[in-house]
Amino acid sequence: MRTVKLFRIAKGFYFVFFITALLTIIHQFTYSNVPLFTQYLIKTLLAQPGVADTSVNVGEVNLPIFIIRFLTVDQEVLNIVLRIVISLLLLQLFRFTLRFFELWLKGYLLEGTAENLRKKMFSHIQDLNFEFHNNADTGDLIQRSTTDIETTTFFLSTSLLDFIYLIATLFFGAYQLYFISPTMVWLSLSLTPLIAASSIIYFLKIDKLFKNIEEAESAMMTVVQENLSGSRVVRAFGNEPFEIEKMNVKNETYRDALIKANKISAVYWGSMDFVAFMQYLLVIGIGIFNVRNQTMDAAGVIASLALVGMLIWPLRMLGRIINSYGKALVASDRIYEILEKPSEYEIDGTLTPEIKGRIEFKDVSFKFNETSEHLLKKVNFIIEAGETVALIGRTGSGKSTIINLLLRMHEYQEGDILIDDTPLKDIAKKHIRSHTGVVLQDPFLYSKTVYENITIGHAYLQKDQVVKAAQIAALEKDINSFKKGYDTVVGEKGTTLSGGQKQRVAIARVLVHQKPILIFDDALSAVDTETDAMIRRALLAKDQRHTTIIITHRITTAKEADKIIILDQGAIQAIGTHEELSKQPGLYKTLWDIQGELEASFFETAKGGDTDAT
Amino acid sequence: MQHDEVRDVDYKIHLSTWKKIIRLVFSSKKRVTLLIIFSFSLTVLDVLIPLINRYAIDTFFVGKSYETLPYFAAIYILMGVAFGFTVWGFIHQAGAIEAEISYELRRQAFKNLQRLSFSYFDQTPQGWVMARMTSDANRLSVIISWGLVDMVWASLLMVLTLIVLFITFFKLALIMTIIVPIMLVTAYFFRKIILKYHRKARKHNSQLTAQFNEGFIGAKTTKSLGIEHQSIAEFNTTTSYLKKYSLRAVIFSALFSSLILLISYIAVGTTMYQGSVYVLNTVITIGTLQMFLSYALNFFEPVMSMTQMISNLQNAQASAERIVGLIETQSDLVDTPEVEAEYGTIFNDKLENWEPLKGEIEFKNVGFYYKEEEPILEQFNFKIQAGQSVALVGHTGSGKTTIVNLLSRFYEPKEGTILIDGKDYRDRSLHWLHKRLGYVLQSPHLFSTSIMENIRYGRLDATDEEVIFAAKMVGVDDFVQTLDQGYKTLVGEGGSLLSVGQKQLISFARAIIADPKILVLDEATSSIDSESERVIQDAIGQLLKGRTSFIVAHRLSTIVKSDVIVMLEMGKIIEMGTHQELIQKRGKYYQLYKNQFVIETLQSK
Repeated sequence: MRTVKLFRIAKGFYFVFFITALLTIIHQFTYSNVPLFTQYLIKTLLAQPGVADTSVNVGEVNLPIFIIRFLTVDQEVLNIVLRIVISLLLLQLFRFTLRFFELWLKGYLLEGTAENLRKKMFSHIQDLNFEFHNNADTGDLIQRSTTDIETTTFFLSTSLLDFIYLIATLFFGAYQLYFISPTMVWLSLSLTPLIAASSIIYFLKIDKLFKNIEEAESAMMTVVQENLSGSRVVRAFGNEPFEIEKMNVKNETYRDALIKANKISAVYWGSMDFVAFMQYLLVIGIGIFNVRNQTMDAAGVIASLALVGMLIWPLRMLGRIINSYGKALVASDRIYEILEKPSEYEIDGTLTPEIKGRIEFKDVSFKFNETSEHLLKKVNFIIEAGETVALIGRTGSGKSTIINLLLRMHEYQEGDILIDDTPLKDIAKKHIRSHTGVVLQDPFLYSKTVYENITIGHAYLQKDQVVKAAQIAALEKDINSFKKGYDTVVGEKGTTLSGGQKQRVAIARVLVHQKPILIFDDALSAVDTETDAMIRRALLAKDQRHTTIIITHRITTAKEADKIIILDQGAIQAIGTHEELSKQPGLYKTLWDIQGELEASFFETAKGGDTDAT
Repeated sequence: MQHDEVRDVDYKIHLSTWKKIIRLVFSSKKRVTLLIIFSFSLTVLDVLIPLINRYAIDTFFVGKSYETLPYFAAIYILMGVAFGFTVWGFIHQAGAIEAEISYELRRQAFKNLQRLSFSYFDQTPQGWVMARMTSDANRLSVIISWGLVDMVWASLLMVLTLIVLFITFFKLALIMTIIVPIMLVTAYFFRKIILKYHRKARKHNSQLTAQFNEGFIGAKTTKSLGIEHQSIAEFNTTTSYLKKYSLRAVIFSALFSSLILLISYIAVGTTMYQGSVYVLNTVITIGTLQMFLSYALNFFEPVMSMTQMISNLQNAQASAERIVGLIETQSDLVDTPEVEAEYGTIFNDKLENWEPLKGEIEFKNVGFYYKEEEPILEQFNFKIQAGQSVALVGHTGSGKTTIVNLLSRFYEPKEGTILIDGKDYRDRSLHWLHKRLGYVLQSPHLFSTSIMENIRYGRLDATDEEVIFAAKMVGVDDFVQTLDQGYKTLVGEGGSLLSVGQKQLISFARAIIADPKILVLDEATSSIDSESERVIQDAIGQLLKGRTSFIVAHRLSTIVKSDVIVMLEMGKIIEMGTHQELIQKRGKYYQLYKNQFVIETLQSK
């Protein structure tokens, strides 16, 4: 079953595979004919008077009949020789052409299946749900998308064809040798199990040693990595010599593991070469015996020496092929593990209504799975289109969950969310997401220019639209201070922006589109209060009114909202305006008091040194 | 600094780089000599095989005289043994040299890394250094060791074969002398094209990995922006480029090897015809003809491996330069020779000359920048007494971390001086300060070993009892006792098996055991539950006792307890004093205090 699945990875390439395999087989058959030309040549020469003391001519040469006919058109010796040379070269030309196409197709098979699989993997992972990405280990995913794909496609396009090559070579080699001397075939093949077995044992053994090597290497690289990431700790305690000693130990272990594995390789290849030598000696011995018996001639022996190579060399690969098969099975399991996870779009709405921006939560409850606690409990609120709403609550009160539900990153279990009176579950996920602009506290920027980061996904945007968005986001001044302005590359590989700059790029990124709903999830935390106010004022001055949800720690920000929603442990504690909430007891009032309206009483506490905020 | 993985270098091989590498790694002359001997013997055996076969053909198969048969068999077996032994020998030696070269490259690179200053680490991505120590070191060691075998074997085989051919029968040997240059030119031409496409493919391959990385990390953002189609389209472009160039490399190598084989068969064919003429005229024997044929047939192999070797060298040029660069990079922060003479080096401290450190610190007209056009500190002045605790507060980018970096001598002032106990700290060695400095990071860095060893890292010669005592002082002992393996418990990579709070406490214990005179504490911003918070506050209290301490402070409780609060903005001190004084001032500190109060209220559960 696992094997079938492994083969399914080459789907769409079966025909190419078949043709390549066929070419390999034809190629090996052609190859097995090559020594016969030498055989024929030497036979012809030996038959000439004066070349050898006694002329013995035993057995026919097993070349295809049309070639034999071509060779014997003329009885003049030199003409026969010339014909041999010409037909050999033509055959080789044919063979090398085959070989060229065979290699090309093999490459196509390898690169084609790999490309196919990479595309599938990438787009499938994009389609997996929010939870998957929250818990994903990026390193592991990359491993699966690169190394594992390479391992499986290598097996399918290379090792598997190598196996066909191996069988074809053995078969045709034995076949041609059989015509010269059946004894030689049986004796040579008697060594086959020995070579095959030692090859398999060797590759299994070496594989195990390679695991040791990998472990030793990763242990060593941990030391390097920890030394680099902890360079301040190392320096601060003055432990450089200790670190060097630690590294030396791991470095030596790794080196010794390499040397140990290599020792086994040296013994294997050395003894295999010795065995091959002995096999040749065996051929020579049998040859001498047969020549004395007059059942064989020198030409036959020379051809046998070439043909017996076809029985020896390919077998050494057997272990590698089996090893590659084992690895490919594991790798394909790991690939399927991802590909078989359901895409989040398997559950999706179909409607794409015009979105004005009214949001209604009706008794919405949410929890991750059966066992876990509710993150939201019967939440009810209405946000009218164009309103600005502040969400306030302690860590873990459910603010971000509300946002994630609104974007349908999670599926809610109870209640309903209505967007302009349409149930959210009926709206296509991509539709609602592309009509909502979200800015997170720690936004992700792509490794592109500032300009591309703002226009991302919408190359048609005009420069003045981008500049305008940057102005509203109070980003213009920063961009102008960069040497390359809008063309400054940011993200992982580019210039490091400060937290506040990143937040503002992300704001410009959502503002450049006319999105009816905007969400700021603590998105101005790294910006000072003045800039914060500036951005909000600029937003209000825009022609278009957005429904705006702001999650914030800043009371001054919340104060200016049309409506403030206070969350506590997944439930709504209060909804109201600043005027209402600052008068009734509760979290908002506490915060507002701290903030300073009732400075006098607060000042007393501060003086007393009572700073315990809990 | 050039951090590109793939650089389009020219095809020149810069011998100076390779000389450096070879000088760096050839400490073991014995192995190299052995390897050359084995390669030599391999070549000789390769040349001998057709010769001995010729003898067998002429004597036994054509001549049918068998007197020498026992000797022949004995020699053949001996050659078999010699061949097996030689193959064993060169694999063994080349493998060992490979392992030793990469070992040596890593050892030297790592050693140099320990000398480098922080500006290097801040500018160089970790992954870049790691790649030098793994893939580059491995690639170079393979090329040097196995390349040496190939080079000796290939060049010698060509020369020896031609010599044997010429001695045997120079008229036939001429055919080969014509073929060799043709093969070499063809090979050179193709290798160049193949290398070009390989490089392009490799470039797209590393781009692909970067895109996988970005695609996975940014998946949530991509979803929320609804731009999956674009990221998929971009990815598909890269992967099809990768396919295109890999495939081109494949096509050209396929064409190349087929063509070389064809050329060698043209040589074989010509030899066949000419040789037959000579055989018919009884100038040469059948055995000699067969010998010529087998030499001609195998001649393409050394040509292939020789040109492969050159191509490999070209390909590895960039790796070689990068790794030499890593080994030779000079630190921009070193002790002067005079200081080294008196205080010793980081590998050899002269403890007997070290004065005690009291802990009085003064910044005098200090100016500093990371990039010249962006000054961080200018004319910065500031003094504290031994034993005082200082809280540095201010926004990101206000210069808190820079002050701590300068104080710890991770960087040095560009202008002005920093005095410790009244003397410029550059007049004493780096280790003199670092051995008495305690440093606790915001996100504590633990090594993947046991809790015991992690605490002991503060002072390597501390006894187990001292470690446990330190753990008790910071209040982590109770937690450790609950673990099955106690102090022997492994903390996992980066301490991943522990909670943030536990990691912090362990890093406190590590600082305590070092018993530093000066303590630098970069406080965590992340919120933890109030119980742990209390434990940590107590531990910080223990940590600061009796030391001059600098705290990059975020939590109010820590700030309030400090002797001096320094409020920074844009590299300048805007307010300084005790908590009471600053509150009464109702300035920026007061604002910050209020905001932080709200945040801490919201963060507490």
